[in-house]
This record gives sequence, C-alpha cells and structure tokens, in this order.
Amino acid sequence: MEFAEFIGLAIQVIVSGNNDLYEVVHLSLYVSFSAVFFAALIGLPLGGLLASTRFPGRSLVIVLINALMGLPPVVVGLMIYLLLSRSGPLGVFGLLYTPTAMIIAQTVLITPIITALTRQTVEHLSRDYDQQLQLFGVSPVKRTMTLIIDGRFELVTAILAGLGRAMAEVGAVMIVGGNIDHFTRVMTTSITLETSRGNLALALALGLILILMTVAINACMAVLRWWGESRYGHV
Amino acid sequence: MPVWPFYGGGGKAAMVMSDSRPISASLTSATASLGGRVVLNNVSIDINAPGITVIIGENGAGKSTLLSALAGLLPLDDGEQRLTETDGRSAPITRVGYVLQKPVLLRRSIAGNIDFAMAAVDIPLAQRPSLRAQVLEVMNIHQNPKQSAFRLSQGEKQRLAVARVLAMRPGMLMLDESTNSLDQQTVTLMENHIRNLADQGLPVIWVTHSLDQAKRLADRVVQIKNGTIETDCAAADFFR
Repeated sequence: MEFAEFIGLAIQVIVSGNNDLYEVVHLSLYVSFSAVFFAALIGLPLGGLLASTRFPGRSLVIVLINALMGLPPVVVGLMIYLLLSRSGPLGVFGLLYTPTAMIIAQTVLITPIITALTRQTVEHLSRDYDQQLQLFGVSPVKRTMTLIIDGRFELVTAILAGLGRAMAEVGAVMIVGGNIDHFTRVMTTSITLETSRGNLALALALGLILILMTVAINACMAVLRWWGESRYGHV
Repeated sequence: MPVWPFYGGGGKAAMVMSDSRPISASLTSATASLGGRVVLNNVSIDINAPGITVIIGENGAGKSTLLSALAGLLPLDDGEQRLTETDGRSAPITRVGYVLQKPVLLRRSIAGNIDFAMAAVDIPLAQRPSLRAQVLEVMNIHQNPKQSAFRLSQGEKQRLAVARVLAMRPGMLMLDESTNSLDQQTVTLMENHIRNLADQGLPVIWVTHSLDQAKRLADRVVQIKNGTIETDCAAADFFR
C-alpha cells in the first residue's frame, strides 16, 4: 500500500467519528495537561527561586536540574513502577496501571524541563529588575512571584516545552500505565501497539492527530507570547 | 527630633505628600569599590535639610555611585550609611523614592506599576485609588491607567517612574539623571514638579552632569571628582 493511501485511510478513520479513537485522544490530553499543570505548579516557583536567590550549592542544584532535563523516560517509568507496585513504598494506594500513575510519571519527567527554563527566563529578567525590587523592599518570595508574573509571556515557552515532552512521551506511560484498552491507552502507546499489529492506518491517524494538536497548541502559545510582548515588552 | 516641618501648604504636590515625614541620609567615612577600583574614597556627607541637593561632576566622577551609596544600594567596604527618621530611628530603603537613571517599569499597566509600589509600603487599600489618581495628576500622566506602561513614550515612562515613587509617600526623593532622555518641555515640567515637592518640604537629591540644571534647581551643591567630594556648599555660594 502506498503512503498516500495510508494517509487517505487515516483521514477516513479521523472523520468517521471512531469512539475508541476519540477516547484515546481524550485520555492523552487529560494525562498530558494534568502533568503539565502539576509540573508547572512545582517548576515555576522552584525555577523562580533558583534564579532570584543565592545559597551554597546553588550551582550544583542548577547542574543537577539541567541534567534531569534529559531523564530517560523508561528509567523514570521503571522508578515510578517500583514505587507504585504492590511491594513498593506507595503500593498501598493501588495506583499502578491507572491514569494517575501516568500523570505522576510525566510530572516527574517534565518538572525539570519547566524548572530549568523558568530559571533561565527569570534570571534574565532579574538582572533588569534587581535594583528596582531592592528599592521596593520586597521579600524573596514576593520578588520571585513578581519575576514570574512579569516573565509570564516568556514562561509560556517553558510550559510548551513541558507539554511537548509530555504529549510525545511513550516509554514511561507504557510501563506505569500498562496500555490497557479503554483505561490507560493514550495516543503514543496506541501508535506503538497499532504499528506492531500492522494496523498502520489507525496508527497514522493517531500520529496525524498528535501532530495537528501539537502544532495548534504551539501556534496558540506563539500568538499569546507575541501579543504579550508587543503589549508589555520582552525580557 | 523633628528637623523639618511636616509637609503642608497648598498645591497638588502637598496633597500627595500629606502623610509623609522627611528622612535624612548620611555617609560617614564611606569607601566603596567596584571590580577592584575604588569608586568612593572616604566620603562623608549628611543630607538632613529640605530643598534640592544637586550632585554634579564629570562623567565617571562617581555621582550615581554616591547616590546609590546614600540610598544603601551600594555595599560599602568601609564607613557607615544611614537613613534616619525625624525621631532618630533607622529608616528602611522603602522610605527613599529613588528613580534609577534608566527606570525599570514593571511589565504591567500604568496602574499596575503604581499599585505595586503602594503595596510595597502597605498603603491602606482604601487610600490607593485616590493616591494613584493624585500622583498621575501631579506627574501629568493622563493616559488610561489600564494601558501598558511599555507603550508610553520615554518621557512618560520617566514621569511614571517618578509618580510611582511618589505613591510610596517617600521621606526623600533621589533622582539619578532623571531628565537625560527627555525633551526640554518635559524637563521643565519635571523640574517644576520636583521643585514644588521640595518647596513643600520633601528633601530631594538630584544627580546631574548639567551645570545649567544645577543652577536652576540647586539649594545645595555637592561636587564630586574621582570618588571624592570636592565641594559641598550652598548653591548661592557655588554659583557666585
């Protein structure tokens, strides 16, 4: 079968209103956006604090967080698996092979990305704001909050990088989610499964949706950043 | 130990400053260095009277350094810096209305910038809208307060920076070459506003490299050269 035929079949699958397909898309979005939300909740203040405070060992922490940006997903998946498995320390909660486990794994993966990029942006802004904030006599926490709020349009990029990683991730969610039909199956694990089954049209349809969603989200964020920078200036 | 009368009199400036108390700023045998170079050398100065003190000197003489040392922004290698309330207590840096040479406006609206300053010094919430309106009026900023500060002209940004520090009800105003990038009309406008505030009892320290501006504004002149104060006298004596 020609590549063009596969594309045609994939488009047919998309427009046919296949419930299974939209279930997988819906779960993918739920898991990825939840993970980004929790990672941002941790990464934005942590990156901001790292940028705006000085303490012994700060350089070491920065090197560590930068290194964690490249965490191998399967290793993270394995660690979370060991933590959540029945014999693991968090086994009592029964989270393994649930969407919650997948959110935890993705949060672990993308928090260092959001933290590191936030630190860079806030540190840049901090150079301009340093004296002015000193004159306002603000506390370190207020200072960090101010820098995050005023760097909000640039921090969109940090969030986007995290979302991109979350949506494209397959190894960790496969291990902790188990790719269970109608329960923990997401787009990336579906693509892997359908490809191995030879169901290339469905795999390609999911791939197309994944790419379209990524492009659409990036475009929206780019417009938001452009609007913000043209209105409030750039860092 | 009240040194100055509280602000009173009429005019818009007096209205803005009505709840403020002046403070004094001093350096005693202050020495400071930047990158291994001595930028202040055994400097002693006390600004403890109302009126405009102008710091003049050539480029690189140490004018801005002296101002930031007086405010407490510059760490000293030796000597002492003090900001003092009229009752002798130590004053926090937020009592200084310091306008940086290149003012840094927050990436917010005009109102957002002023509100941030008022929050920094805990101006009661109920007083904030009227105080904001007053400082914008005093500094002749008539744009919509919801407009982004980024979209203001250079002169308007400079005036907003002054309005912002006025909203903090400072006990002293420090201006670091604050009219450098402004056209003559705006310079005159700002000079008149600051003169008005000084006449109401707000101590002002104004750094400039322009002798003409010093002549127009100064009650007291401090001339600095190579990080050392060369002259410190009344403007009438300096320009005689």
